Amino acid sequence: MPTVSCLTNTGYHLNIFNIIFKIMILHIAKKDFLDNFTSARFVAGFLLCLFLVPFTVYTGTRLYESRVDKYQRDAREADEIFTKAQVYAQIQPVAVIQPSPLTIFSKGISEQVGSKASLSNSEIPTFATGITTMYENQFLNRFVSLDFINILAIILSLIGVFLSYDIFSREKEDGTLKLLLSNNVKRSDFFLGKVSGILLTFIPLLLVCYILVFIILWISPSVSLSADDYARILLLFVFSLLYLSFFILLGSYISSKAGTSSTSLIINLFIWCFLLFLLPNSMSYLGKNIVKSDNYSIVRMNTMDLDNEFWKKYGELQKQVKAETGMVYTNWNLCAGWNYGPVLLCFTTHDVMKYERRMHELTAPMVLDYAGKKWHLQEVYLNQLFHQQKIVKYLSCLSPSEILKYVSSSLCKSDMENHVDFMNQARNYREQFFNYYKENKIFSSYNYFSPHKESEIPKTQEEAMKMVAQWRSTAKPESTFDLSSLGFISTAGLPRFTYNERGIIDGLSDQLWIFAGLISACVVLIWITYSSLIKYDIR
Amino acid sequence: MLNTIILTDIKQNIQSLKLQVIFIIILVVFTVGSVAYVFQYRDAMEDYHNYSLKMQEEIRKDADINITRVAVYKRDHLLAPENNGFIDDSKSQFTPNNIQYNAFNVFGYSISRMTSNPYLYLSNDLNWVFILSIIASFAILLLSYDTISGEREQQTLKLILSNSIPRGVLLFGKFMSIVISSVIMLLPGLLISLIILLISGILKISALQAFEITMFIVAAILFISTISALGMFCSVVSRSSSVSLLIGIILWSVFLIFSPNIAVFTADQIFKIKNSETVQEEVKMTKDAINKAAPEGSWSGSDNPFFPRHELRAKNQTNLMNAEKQIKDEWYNSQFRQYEKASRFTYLSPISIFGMVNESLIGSGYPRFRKNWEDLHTYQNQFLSWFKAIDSKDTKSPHWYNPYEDYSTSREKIRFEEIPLYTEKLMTIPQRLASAFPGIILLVIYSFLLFGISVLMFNRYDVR
Repeated sequence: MPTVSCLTNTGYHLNIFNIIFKIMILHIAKKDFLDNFTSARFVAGFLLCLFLVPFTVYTGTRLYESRVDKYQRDAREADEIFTKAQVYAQIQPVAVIQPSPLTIFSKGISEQVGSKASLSNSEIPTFATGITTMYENQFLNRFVSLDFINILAIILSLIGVFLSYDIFSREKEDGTLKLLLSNNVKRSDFFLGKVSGILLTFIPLLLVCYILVFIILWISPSVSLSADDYARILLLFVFSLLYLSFFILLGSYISSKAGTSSTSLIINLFIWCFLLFLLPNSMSYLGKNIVKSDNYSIVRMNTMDLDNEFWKKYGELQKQVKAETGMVYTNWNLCAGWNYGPVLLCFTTHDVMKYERRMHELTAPMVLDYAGKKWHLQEVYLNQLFHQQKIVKYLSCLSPSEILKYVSSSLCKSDMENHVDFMNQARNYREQFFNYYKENKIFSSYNYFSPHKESEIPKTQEEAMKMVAQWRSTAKPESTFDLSSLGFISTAGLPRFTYNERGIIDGLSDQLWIFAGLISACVVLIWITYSSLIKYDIR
Repeated sequence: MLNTIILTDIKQNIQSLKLQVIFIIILVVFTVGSVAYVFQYRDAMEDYHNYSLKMQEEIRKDADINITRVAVYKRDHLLAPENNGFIDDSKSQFTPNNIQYNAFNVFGYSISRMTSNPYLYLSNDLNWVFILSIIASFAILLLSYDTISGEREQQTLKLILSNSIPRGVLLFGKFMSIVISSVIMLLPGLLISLIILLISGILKISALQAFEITMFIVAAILFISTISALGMFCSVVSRSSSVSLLIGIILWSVFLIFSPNIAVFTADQIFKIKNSETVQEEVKMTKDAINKAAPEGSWSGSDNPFFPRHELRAKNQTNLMNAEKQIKDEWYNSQFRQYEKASRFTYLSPISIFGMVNESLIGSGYPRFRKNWEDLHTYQNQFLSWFKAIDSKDTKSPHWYNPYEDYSTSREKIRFEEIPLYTEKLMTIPQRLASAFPGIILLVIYSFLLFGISVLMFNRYDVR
């Protein structure tokens, strides 16, 4: 602890005095805490929180509930792809990610990016599908609503500014600073006492905000928080305090520099408005202009060119296989789908089946191959987007409110890194899934596209028509196209998608730089405030 | 006397630190915003140009095959970037900007990604409306919060009132001085922005753009008056200037934060509509019923256009399309209504009103989308009649209109130049004024109301 004191420069080093000094910090902190706690500005801020927080969290909870509904439907559908498959070619897995209740705290980009990845053989997904807009009625997107962390970012910093702008200047104006420092109080103690007094005031306020959220979450039946979630919320709480400290320290610094309280307030408010509204928007605007990304529609059109190339080759293959098998006219007696060739082809004669099997055997790897070729284009585009995001992120993190936003969305699993991780896992799974098909020679088996075993395939058209008639008689009367009597394939051995969530540490390590940035900004502020206080003219 | 009050106050304001700081900030933001807009707009236009060329290429390719493909293949109409985005971008990046249609139907709308990056947080462009509604409104509040309570604290209020001047007139003088100071504070920024836009060539001297800019200034003055009146109100509500400021900032943040949330809240709670799953389910059920009732052979196809079952196929496809259209259109209309009703709740906040008024005045955002939506319906009918007229002359066509496939209508080639293409018609000035009218009136009412209340309260104000 620095031993510079202002009026008494003799430097006491006896333990007893040290203890008294420390108690002095507590005294100042306690007095300031009580003063602030009953001040009009604090009460006003408190009421504002009481009004805005429940409202925001309630809206957020409703949105979360609708997302959970959607997730459950999606998960069921994704499961049915496996349980209701009758041939292997029908299985085009879908990876679904469960929405986290933490998105109520900080929604990050979770509402913009979708929550499921369709993993077909013909395409590696660029983006997730599902909900990719804030509201189902897309016109409502015009009203960008704020989440809990956004509200905290605005209101807390505002109250922080209001409580700290006159921390020194008021004491000076009232003449109490002279009195205070004529006692045996070190300026450093005075400074620490004052700042911790304000910080202490915020702990109950923050607690009330968080408790309000918890009450709403506990009332909502669909929200259940795990131990991991609670740990994340605790970190969020700590981080909100750090964010607040920045504004309190900034207020203190300006207060120590400004001549009068009213000047200090005006300067503080300007900086506040600048940091919260102007800087993030201009930096994001600037970032988007520095790093450009292609037009997605044009990327799509370019992948379509590859599709056209594929179809040309497909036509050639058809000719080649027709020549190979002597097939002239393919007559399908019953077919219920299409995946680069007939899918669920039944009751069809052996020669046609043989031709289709050969076609599938040759086309399926080619489809996968072209998906990989298209992916190169998509990857270039995606990397542009990632790069742009990085630039915008680091530029806008010049504003502490953006740092709070990025760190909290990382804690709440709603940031880009979490989403990209999900998409990467989904893409890896896709590769694993179709590799399994390759390794087990599923593409070249009859079961890839037909529910019949090779021995069950009819030899002649008459035999086939007999089978059709028999199937018609067993089909449910109300249904025109019931194939359930043909049975389902066993999908027990197929790889299934499981999502491994990123740990807290992984998430935070992405945000390490901006986190360190905020802490160093706080340290710098402490240092410059302290040194300006040392030189402060108390007259 | 009134003139003296106004002039002294303006002088005082101009010399104050606050106004000088605000002045510089606003000047910088206007400049940076306009320069960035110029680059952004050029890129967007180039991008859009390339996109439209590609789209035309697609139509050309289809036209080279046959006219039916031109008519039945679904096309996207993507709304072009606006040359008045420097006034307001109307959040057009995240609201529907793409409409899908063919000659038989306008299918629906979506948000086209274009160049927007889904991994970025939503942020505002530095356009005029943003500068006015966030930065300037905050600044005006800082200028006006201590007009009365500050004078009381400095003990100068007594002196002023010892002159023979009615309190209402004094308050009006102060009010006018704030409005004029704010205009002075904004004007240079606005002029620089205009010069940048003129030099870059984005701003062409046309009647429409002159209208847009004039109306922006009118709306801005109304908005400035409302916020000034709000500041005056805060200043007479309390005897201490810091309490006035506190009230002002709280109201400001409520207006800023609360109003978008309330629109979403009311949409969710009061104006509920069906969700997409229900609609999809309905569509699926209706389609299944139609398919089941369809006569045998409704799905048969052949290379011969006159294959008799093609007529069944065409009928079935038409029935499917109409059934889906009916359900979907009803849903779309309910979405329009929900948005319109919910957006009325944002009229509680002058900041939101200002945004909505400008959206209407520059003919962008929702009003623009709706106009395109209606216009595309008209165009679609014309497109269909054009197609049918050509098809009817073709003896090789059986004229069985199938809205999705090229089985049973004309297979003749068509020259690209003959195809009627959809071009967007901008909203006319009367349409824009009509759409902005309620907001403008509300702003006037707000400023009168706030000023009126302030006068009433000031008459009872204890000057000691």
